[in-house]
Amino acid sequence: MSLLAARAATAGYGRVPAVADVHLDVEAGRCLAVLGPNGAGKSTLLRALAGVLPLLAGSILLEGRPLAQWRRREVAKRVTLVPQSVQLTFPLPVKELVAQGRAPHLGPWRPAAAADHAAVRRALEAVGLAAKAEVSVQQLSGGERQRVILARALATEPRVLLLDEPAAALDLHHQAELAHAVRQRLQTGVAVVFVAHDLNLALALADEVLVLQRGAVVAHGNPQQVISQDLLRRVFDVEGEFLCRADGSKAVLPRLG
Amino acid sequence: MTRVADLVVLSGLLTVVALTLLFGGPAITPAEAAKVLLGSGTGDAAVVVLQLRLPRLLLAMAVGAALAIAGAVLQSLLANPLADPFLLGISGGGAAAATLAFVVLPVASLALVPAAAIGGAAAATALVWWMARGPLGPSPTRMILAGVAVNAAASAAILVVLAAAPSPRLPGALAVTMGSFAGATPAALAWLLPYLLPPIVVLVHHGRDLGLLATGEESAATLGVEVGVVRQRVFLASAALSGGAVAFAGIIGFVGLVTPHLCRLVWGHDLRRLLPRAALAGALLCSAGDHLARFVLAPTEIPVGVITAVLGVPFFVVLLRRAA
Repeated sequence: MSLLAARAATAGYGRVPAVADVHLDVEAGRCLAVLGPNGAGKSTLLRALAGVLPLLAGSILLEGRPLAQWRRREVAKRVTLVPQSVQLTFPLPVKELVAQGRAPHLGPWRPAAAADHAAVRRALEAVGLAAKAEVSVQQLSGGERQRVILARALATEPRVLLLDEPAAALDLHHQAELAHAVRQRLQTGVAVVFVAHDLNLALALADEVLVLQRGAVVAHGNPQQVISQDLLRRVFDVEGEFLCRADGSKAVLPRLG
Repeated sequence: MTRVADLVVLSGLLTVVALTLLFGGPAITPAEAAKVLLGSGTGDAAVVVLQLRLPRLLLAMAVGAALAIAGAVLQSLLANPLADPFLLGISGGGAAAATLAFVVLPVASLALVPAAAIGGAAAATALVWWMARGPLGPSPTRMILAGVAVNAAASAAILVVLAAAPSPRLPGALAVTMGSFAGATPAALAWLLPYLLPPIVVLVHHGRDLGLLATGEESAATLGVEVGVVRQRVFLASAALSGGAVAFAGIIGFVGLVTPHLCRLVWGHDLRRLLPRAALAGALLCSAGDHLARFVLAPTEIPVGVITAVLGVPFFVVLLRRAA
């Protein structure tokens, strides 16, 4: 049984669908990359999978049960969405923002225990921000903020991680750190779905890719086969070259300009 | 640091309690006041302390606590540091409804004025939220603009009601528009507490949810907050606090803005820690403000809202500049 599945899922804002008729299965320890041009409905799909955007049609199943039948907190313990950004209304210390990730396990009254503090510490170390635990989030750079939001999700220790463009603001070193953190979670049986514009990140991390164009699924399958010259032309309207790495895997070099 | 701040607020409150009970009109000695408070005092001192000064002091403290809590939770719920019952038009909506109720209700039904104020405050809250919301949550800028619009509409409604009010009802209706604790009586306090205590319990219960909501509605939902349910409860509870405060003490601005921010500087942003401290600090601000309001231009008493505005306006300017 899939951890998380979409069955003819259609979601959008108001009554206008931004993504329609999506079928997918997310298995434990597997990684799915969602690709597509701007406005294709990738973030909408992620929101729907997290259950924070109501569906217009179809269903999302968590451990075989429709998401609508779950209590919000029970969903949050199992599925965590890492948005591109969150509002930083107050100058919280990094540690406190990351500790919010434990909220689904604590409920309204239970104080954080040693296990919660340990999860927060592990999450901060995974994103390389342990040294900035006491710094105000408002003093961080864009990339550091993105890593704090990721750490908050890691602190939840969910079974499914949904990442919306997690590497968008990261330098090369921290992209590698992110890939390492994702691989570690995959090895422990966590399922990962991520939205990305970087096709090489999808080729490096994903077991499966799903390509959206104008809200519809146009390709779905093994990244080495799906990410092709034809896809670059048809979906992204660019030309590109494909390189073969030493390990036999593929890398793509889009032709810009 | 936080322990010291706790002690400062508590000692401040005790000082204001002592000053308010002992001074203002006929002076009462500490021994007399103690006797009255312990139930053995009689004569003028007992009347002054139990019928005049203590109710006024407790009303100021209750209203200050209510406004500070309402401000703190609205700032988190709406992820907006400028949110405050006064600036968002919630107090204005409550005042408009209370003024109307004062004028149109028969004398026997005047006990319903607080309920009307809470209804007006809730309607203003719903209106502001409806105007400010977007597909991914409310916009902070639109919210402040919506507050300006609701405040303007409430002021206009109040003026119309006052212009049409029959003269015997005018003083009561006018009192709602001017913040003051002068109308405090033991009976008023007994009426006020049921309006304040249940909402405070609800808000403290949602303290952790509110901390998550300060990072945005979608972000809070991903961490397990039932956003719609929590928003509805917090709106109703903060409308009850603001409306209750308006019905018994009129419009008092900026307490809900200034107090939570000052408390956040010392006690941090966890609302389960912050709300009790904000309540005490709001109680201190309003009771000390009321004491000043009676003594700055003595024997003339100025509205306590003037004192809180003198403190609040510069603070608001600083917050605005920092946001820019």
